[in-house]
Amino acid sequence: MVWILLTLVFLLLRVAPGDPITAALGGQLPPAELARRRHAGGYDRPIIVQYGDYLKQVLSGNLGKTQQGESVTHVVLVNGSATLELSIFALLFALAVGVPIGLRCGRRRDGAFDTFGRLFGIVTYAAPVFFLGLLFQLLFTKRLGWLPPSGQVSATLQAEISDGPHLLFFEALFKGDTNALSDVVKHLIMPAVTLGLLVTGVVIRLVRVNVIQTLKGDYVEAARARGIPERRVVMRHAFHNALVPIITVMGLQAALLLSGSVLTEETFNWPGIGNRLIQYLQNRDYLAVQGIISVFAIVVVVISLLIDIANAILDPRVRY
Amino acid sequence: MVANAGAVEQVVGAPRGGGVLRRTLGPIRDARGLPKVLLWVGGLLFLVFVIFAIFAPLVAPYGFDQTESGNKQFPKYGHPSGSHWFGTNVTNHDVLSIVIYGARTALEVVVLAVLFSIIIGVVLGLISGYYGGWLDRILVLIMDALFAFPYLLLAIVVAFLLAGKVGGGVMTAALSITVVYVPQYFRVVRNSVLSAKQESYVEAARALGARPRTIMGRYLFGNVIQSVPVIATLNAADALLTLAGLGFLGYGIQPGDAAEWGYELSRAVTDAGAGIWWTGLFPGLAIVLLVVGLTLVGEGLNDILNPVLRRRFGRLVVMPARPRSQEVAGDLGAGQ
Repeated sequence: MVWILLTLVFLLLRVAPGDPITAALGGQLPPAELARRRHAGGYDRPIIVQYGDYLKQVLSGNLGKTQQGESVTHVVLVNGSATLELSIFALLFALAVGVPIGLRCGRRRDGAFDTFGRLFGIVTYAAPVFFLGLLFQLLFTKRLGWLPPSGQVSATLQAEISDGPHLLFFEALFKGDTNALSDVVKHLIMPAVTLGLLVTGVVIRLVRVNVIQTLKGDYVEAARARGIPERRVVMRHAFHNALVPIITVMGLQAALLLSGSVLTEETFNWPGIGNRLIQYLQNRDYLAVQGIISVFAIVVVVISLLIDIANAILDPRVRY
Repeated sequence: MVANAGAVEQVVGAPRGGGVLRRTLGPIRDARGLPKVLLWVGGLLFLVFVIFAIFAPLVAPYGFDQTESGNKQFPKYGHPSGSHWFGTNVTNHDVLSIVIYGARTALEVVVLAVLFSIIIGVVLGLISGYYGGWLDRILVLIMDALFAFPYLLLAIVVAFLLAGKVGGGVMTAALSITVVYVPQYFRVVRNSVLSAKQESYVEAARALGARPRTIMGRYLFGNVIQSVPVIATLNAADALLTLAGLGFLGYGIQPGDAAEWGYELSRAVTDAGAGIWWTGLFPGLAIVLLVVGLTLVGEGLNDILNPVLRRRFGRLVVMPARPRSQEVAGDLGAGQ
């Protein structure tokens, strides 16, 4: 799967537009200079050799250099960690809100709460993240002045932070720096909630449908007949068995989360990988774009692997 | 009566266009309760935007690229007022007109994108499912890879590549969105073809010497197409969001060519810093309402057409009460 995705990335970004030097600088440089640079970059060799090189490089963790000479791997590590932090908190928010609502909707199908839950799910899904983010900015920053509008940390604190990975929340937490922590959390709330709401709708729908399905099962009937309290029936018997499909589909939503994070980062000027990707796209920096997209491809595959492992732990019938 | 006879004939004979449509739409007429309400509310919302889109020049007070009226320049960042209900934006355009013309752009792109994906997805799915073999395996691999990939990034990359060659118009936007949704139709159609081609009527057709094209077009197509309307409406909603996302990131439609909601919102993010709310709120609401409308239609259709979720609102059958003496006797009998 990794191989197929990487091949697709290579075909799309290297073969389709031609070599990166001509694509980015064609028309701006004299042909001789172009040819010299193409030769220096090795882009005049057969495409199949370049393809082999690309695969080798990606596997050894070398993603090439940006136009500014920065290592793409470094960019991925530094900015990717900011995206990771955002995604973790968004996911936590989505689960904390979505699972209880979905459970209640599933238990009382077609009740008033169920209708509310479904509508809530539809509306959060229908509102583009950047629109929600915009509304939050208007309300909490402009009107109420509670939260900072954008960025991951205040400019004054930014100077004190090392040039390492941008896992600022965890960094501040481990240092026990309450001042920095509160600043980071304030910056984190709006982006995380915005991105989280996007996924919440999906979580509600998933939990609801699967709980409805499992509640129809014979073992649920049997559990009820044995006089087990309804709460426990729903949690232990219905929800537990609904988890496998829920987790599987949630894994597919990793792609949704990644797409959403690009938009969220752009809205809140969050220094994540999506933000950088958009910059590179605007600069027509093909190599950097190719590198970042390759990483996204690998991330998607790794997540699907993790999902399989999680399912194997949850469901004793799944064995590899 | 005559119409009924026709319907019976069609069910008995090979599935044909009219029969398929009738069978697909039949449950909608019989639907009741919440699904029906969802369907109606969503349909109404959708209809409003369709009217906006078609009659944009009549409905909108100004053109989407108009910055003056009667030799009077529109104000920059004008508050919502009598002459500009939704205010004006940074480039002195009327926001209400942009919102209305935006519906036209959105529907154009989405209709094209969904049509393209259905055509490509269904054809590839039919071929892949019917012939099988290495072609099937390669197509499945590619489609799975595309499906797993973050949809927006895929659309951005395609838009980015096409923009250099085709330019950033409605077509580019539609094509970049198409790539995202082809795999869904492909999967659904391929899977139903796999099960449908084992049916005896397909075998009979093959035994009669029908060509593969005839089998696929006449026999399989009608049987695998039924889940497409639901996916199409839900996809349309999703495609709208993708278009807005593309526009927001600057890979949608060129600003001069048409009004686009996502692009308006990207400029509104800067405005929000200055406390200007009307440039973002109204295009954003337009997106939300249209997507909600389409989603409601899709959900309603899904509830009604999907046999797993469908509920039969059949009449309750009341059993005649048993004579009391027998009941007592029975109870006694059980007791002993």
